[in-house]
Amino acid sequence: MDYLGEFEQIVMLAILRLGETAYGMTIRKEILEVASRPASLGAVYTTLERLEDKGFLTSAIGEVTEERAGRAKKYFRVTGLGQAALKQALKSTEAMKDGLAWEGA
Amino acid sequence: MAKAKGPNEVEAVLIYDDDDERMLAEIKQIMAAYVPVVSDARTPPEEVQFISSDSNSYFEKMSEQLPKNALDIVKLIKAYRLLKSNATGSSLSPQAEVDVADDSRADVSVGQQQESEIKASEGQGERSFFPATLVIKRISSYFLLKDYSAPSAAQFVLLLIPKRSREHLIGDLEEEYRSVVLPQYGRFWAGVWYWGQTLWAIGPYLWVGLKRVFGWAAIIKLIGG
Repeated sequence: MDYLGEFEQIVMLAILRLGETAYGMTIRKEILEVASRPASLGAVYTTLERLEDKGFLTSAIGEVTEERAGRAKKYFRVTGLGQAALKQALKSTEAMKDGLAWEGA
Repeated sequence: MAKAKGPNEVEAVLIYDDDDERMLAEIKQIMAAYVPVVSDARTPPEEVQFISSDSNSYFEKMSEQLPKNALDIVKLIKAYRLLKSNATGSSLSPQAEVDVADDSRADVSVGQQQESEIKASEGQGERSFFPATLVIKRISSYFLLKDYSAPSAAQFVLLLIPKRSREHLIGDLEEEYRSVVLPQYGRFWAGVWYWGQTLWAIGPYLWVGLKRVFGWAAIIKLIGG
């Protein structure tokens, strides 16, 4: 099974949070607002492509709007395989975190 | 001060240099039928993007750059001036229908009686006593795509992005530029933002490309090629 990197996890969580409205711009905005992490569209899209290649995401071409100068949106959804991988990754992180004594915490 | 609501709306500010309050009230009423008239003032606000005057040659010169409903307003003002130049003192109805044909010299359709008054005054030549100057403040790039589209050189750089995501990535960037950044920060800073985003966006793709190239180079070195 493919493992998920930290940014991959964040992107997948953003897609799950956004539901039907997950496309490049909204994913980037969600990451910035929720995780307080600025990310370039390039970073978001390379990650989305990688996750799609791994079978963790599916995409669908959306509507064309004039605001986008006639360019279509690409909506993303997390697949069952992606959800399983994400759960596993988060579980592993939790397990590694347990029992740690944080300095200054 | 009321703000224009949508990206397709044009906000208008009426600048006047005359104390004829009745006339100004009528003009504002006419304009309000077409655009949100957000304020009136004796001096143009600093952020104003376009200022029209009551000079016909100026109207015609600028008409190509104006959004359609701004052009309608220009026509309204011209018709209003023609009507007012008659001794009849009739005023233009706010429900007046504008001929929106792409011709800045087109007359405003205001009913047969008023139309004939316009034609009559055209024969006499227009008198330039119109006291107000209309200011159109750009709210979004929607109407002025030619002037407010994203920097074309940056879009050329974005062609470096692989075809698979190029259209969608540029579309996302364009959407944010037009709907969020441009109305908020103006053309110059929006252009700076777009360039920054462009360079930031191609970074990860360049990195992936470099890794591929140097990855293959390392393999070739390992097998002694």
